[in-house]
Amino acid sequence: MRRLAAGGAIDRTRPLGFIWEGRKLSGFAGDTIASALLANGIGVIGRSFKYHRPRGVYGAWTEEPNAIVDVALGARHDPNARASLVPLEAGMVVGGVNAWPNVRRDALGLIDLFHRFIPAGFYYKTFKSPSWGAFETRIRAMAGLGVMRPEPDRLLYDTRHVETDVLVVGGGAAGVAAARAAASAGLGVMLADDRAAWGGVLQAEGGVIDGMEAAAWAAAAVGEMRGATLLGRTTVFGAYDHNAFGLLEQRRDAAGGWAEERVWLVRARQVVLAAGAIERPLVFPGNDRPGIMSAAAVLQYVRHYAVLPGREVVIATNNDTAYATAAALVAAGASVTVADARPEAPGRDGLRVRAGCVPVGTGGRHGVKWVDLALRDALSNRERVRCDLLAISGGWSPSVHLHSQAGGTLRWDDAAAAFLPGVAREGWHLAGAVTGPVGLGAALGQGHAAGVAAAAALGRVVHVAPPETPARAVEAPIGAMWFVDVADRRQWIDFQNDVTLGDVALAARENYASVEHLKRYTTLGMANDQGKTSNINGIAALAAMTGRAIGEVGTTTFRPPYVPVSLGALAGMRHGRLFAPIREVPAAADHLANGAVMREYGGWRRPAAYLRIGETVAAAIAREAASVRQGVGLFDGSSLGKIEVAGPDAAAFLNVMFYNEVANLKVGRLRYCLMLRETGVVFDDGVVARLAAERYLLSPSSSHTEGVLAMLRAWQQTEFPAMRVVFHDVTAAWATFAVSGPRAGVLVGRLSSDIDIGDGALPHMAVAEGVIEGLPGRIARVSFTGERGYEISVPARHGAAMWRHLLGLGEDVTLYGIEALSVLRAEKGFILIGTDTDGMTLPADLGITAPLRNKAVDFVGKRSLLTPDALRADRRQFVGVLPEDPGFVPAVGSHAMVDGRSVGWVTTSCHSPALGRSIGLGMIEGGRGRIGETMEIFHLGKTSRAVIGEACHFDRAGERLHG
Amino acid sequence: MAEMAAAGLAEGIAGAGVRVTPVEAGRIWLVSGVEMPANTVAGGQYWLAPGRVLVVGGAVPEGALVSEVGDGFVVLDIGGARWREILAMAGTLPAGALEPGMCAQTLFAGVRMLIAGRDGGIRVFVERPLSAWLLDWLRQAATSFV
Amino acid sequence: MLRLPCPYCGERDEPEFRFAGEPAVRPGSDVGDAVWAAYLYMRSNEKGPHREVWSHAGGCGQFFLLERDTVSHAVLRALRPGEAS
Repeated sequence: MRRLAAGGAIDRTRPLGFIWEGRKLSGFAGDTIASALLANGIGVIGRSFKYHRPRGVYGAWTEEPNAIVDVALGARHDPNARASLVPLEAGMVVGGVNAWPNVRRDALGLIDLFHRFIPAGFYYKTFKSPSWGAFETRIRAMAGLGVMRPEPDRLLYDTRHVETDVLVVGGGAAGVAAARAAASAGLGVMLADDRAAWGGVLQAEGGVIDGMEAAAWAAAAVGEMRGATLLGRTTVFGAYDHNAFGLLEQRRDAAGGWAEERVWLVRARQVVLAAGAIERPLVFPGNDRPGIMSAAAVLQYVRHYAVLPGREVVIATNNDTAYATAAALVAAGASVTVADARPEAPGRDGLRVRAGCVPVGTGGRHGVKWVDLALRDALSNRERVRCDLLAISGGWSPSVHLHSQAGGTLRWDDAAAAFLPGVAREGWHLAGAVTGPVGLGAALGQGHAAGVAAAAALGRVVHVAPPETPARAVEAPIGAMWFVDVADRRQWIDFQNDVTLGDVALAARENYASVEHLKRYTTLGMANDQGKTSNINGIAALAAMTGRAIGEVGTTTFRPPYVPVSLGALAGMRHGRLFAPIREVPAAADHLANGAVMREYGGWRRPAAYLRIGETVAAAIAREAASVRQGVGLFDGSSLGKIEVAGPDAAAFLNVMFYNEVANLKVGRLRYCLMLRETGVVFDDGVVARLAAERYLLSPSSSHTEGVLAMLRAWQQTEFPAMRVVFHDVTAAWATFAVSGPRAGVLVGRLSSDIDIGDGALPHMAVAEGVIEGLPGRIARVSFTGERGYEISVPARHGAAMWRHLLGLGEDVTLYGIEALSVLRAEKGFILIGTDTDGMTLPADLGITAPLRNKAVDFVGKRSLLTPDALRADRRQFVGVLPEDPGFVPAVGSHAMVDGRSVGWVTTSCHSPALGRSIGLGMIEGGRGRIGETMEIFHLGKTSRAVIGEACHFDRAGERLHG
Repeated sequence: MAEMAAAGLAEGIAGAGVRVTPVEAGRIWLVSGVEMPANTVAGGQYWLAPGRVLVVGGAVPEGALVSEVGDGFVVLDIGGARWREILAMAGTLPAGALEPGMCAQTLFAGVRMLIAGRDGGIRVFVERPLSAWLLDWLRQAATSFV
Repeated sequence: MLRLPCPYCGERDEPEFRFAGEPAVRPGSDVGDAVWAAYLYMRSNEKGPHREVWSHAGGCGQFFLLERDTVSHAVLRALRPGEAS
């Protein structure tokens, strides 16, 4: 056991039992999985991604690259959890990943013996013969770490959108000082930190602020802030335009257990970035073994979690901060030797310090057992030192990610050996270790100043004095050492993706000299730690290999998220039934009661077909289509768009918007019209009704209503603002039902109405308003089936009742759905926009040419119909396609072939009950000239034959409209 | 037959600190040709766009084009101590834009709707075809999270 | 996520808006093919202040002209159709 008898922020009164790889272990409330495993002396936590080398815990927070574990608790499961971030809960089941049978004895550990053959980018050069495909499946199966479970995720996620005066990113010394100052000015402050307690690393590093113990000061200062939104366990993961930020909050639900997640989208007027810095590893041969840990992390484990990760400790460092770790280890009873790479190393009481000394090799497979040290100017002269913990510190990299995401600049600083923030975006104030190496006093001062500046920018004054801390000795500067200059290049830079110094050298040799190429070629920085401990070391190594300054090499582009964010959190409530809004028709409940199979069409839930007992969908469709042509069918068309257009200039305006002539449409009449885009492409088809001299009603297709309305508004507002015309979208206010078939007139005649539906008063393509069953309504004579047809419209509130009423009028009414309608219109050769037409179809392609010849006024898209491409003779044209085999229904999308080349395709294909055989429609080059021809039809390697003909397969004269 | 009106939504939603109640708003009209200050409510009139308003209740309004659309809307009152949280879950419109006397058209849970401020909450006008889905969303939002 | 100013409703977030292209003067129907093609397809692709048309589709539905810096995304101003520039 490596738990210290006293100290730390854990709650020793609450022991928690958990399982690690089948073994029962115990920790305390306040532990992370990592600290609990370390306390139990567990060294090997995982296996590296490529070489399957044993790995242990390296870090203590988000920088952790090695300790990836599978964690399960009840219904909750994370296959790639970073053990240093997960708070320990009773009953957690934790296991290793990427190993078989377990992490200690991974069979694939043998791969490491062949590391010479699998460097970075090996898959670009090897495993080629006989083909990559032969190896790909097995190699991909071995890639990856954790394994997902197939069960649906039952975690709850939600989203909040808020605005705030000042967003303070980071709740360490600098962030708390800034938030405290801004809150005292009466501003709305949002303070976010990814830890559960305030103060960041103050708990581990200690200190005195305003006479209080540092961590206690932070808690008190936060507690006194008025009107602040405090978000602990919250990571600010992305900076977006106009000071928008994405935050990920890990929450605990009331019943305990693993946290749920909430994404906050925050818009801030001022921003304080106090995100701190991350310690880099030292790069030397064999620096990846279990028991080799970040020195700053060791300090946290000793002071915060009361865990002593080793008793015979070697510290390898190039800067002063590791000495705090040394002191803490000595105080905890460990024996410590420090190897300081700098020629002048500070003398410290009770410490053996070797100046100018670096590690050149390590040993110990399941945990470090020794390290070879040598002087930098005599690297071949090695001395072996025994140890069970090697704490390393290569310097600190400011966490400038959000600053860069927002467009802030960076500059390389040789003295600090770091990329420091340059010019910040307007409204941003940076404070603390994110600005470079600072002591506690400077961090507090900068934080307070940032709060003052943010308040001043918003016209407010701060009412607290800056926090004070006793001065400390100035730290000696860092002595940058980016790697050890020996032949052995197995010096790890990216632990998680197994990228070594040798891989960087390989990339440089192969001329992947750009830092962006280095990243993609070697995958350095692309693991789920996103290069937090590896990016800077990699850049510095590349600079050395290519003879450039580090600042010249630069960084890769910073992109959100800063930490992995689960897709569930980003989705929030938008999954399952709540994935996207869907529209229901007024008679929806009745359709279900009548056996309807409901499907989504263009954002509406509509009946596809009405199934009788034991019927398949295909059988229902055929029955419905046949019955409509024999008797009378009833169809719910309530989703059709309805746009009222009115005004003295309505006729002239619509005449510009539509392809067809609209101005001469008589009152009480309907016309089928196409609406084009300026490119001439058919955008929508629908019926235009003239209800009065200055009032029209448009019926765009259900899925295009919004688009048509937007087009009308766009043209009226930007091109014809002087025209007196207004539009009302009344789609939702009306229920519309289509009655179709030879007996349609009989059924409609039974309605109690003041509207005369005699053929003289209401011929085909006419409309009348009046009272229907006591309700205001319309009856239109229009058909999409080719049979005599009526559309009955009543206010939506009465839709369901009208549906039932029509069903009960004494006729044998067939309910028919979208699929049967599609068959009926296919028999008549009527187009469906988006099915028979695509983004290139012009009206002439559909055979609708009269308006272009005859319409005098300019209209939207007209000029595009006169370009050389629009007038090409070989354009695809809309025709009928009759398969030679009447029982064969070609797949939609089958190609029409001439001399082995596709000249078009089948757009509609179905069985026709009216003709008792298969029919189709298609768009084929020069189609109208091919009428009568037999063509080859091709789909997925199979060919068939079909005769090209007129699109209308049934009742070409249109007599049934009047039958 | 006119009496066989399909009932509106009879039940409301009650969650922790959230109340959603259907409102019988009476007749509603879309009216063009009427001007009023943008995003305000006055005398039963709600601003929708330059020259276009929604008129709720009262006498049949006058205008260049008057369309009765009451059937096309479901009107809901959202209130309770946590109504601002529901708004924050639904979209990016700040609560400050919805004082009594103010209104806004915005995306609420991805649905475009008219929202009006009132004492202790908001009143939303959602198109009837989307109302069932919206109520599902409100049910989930009101009862799932604290 | 941009924050855009609708001239009628004030500042709202990007999902409420729809980009509607560059402002263009519609040529007469008698122009040559090249001029018509340029009107349909050629864009200025400026670096810096740039004019574009947006609609507040998720709000009041109005179309307006926005001047935006394509590098910094700074919103310079928003104009109603016909408003003097």
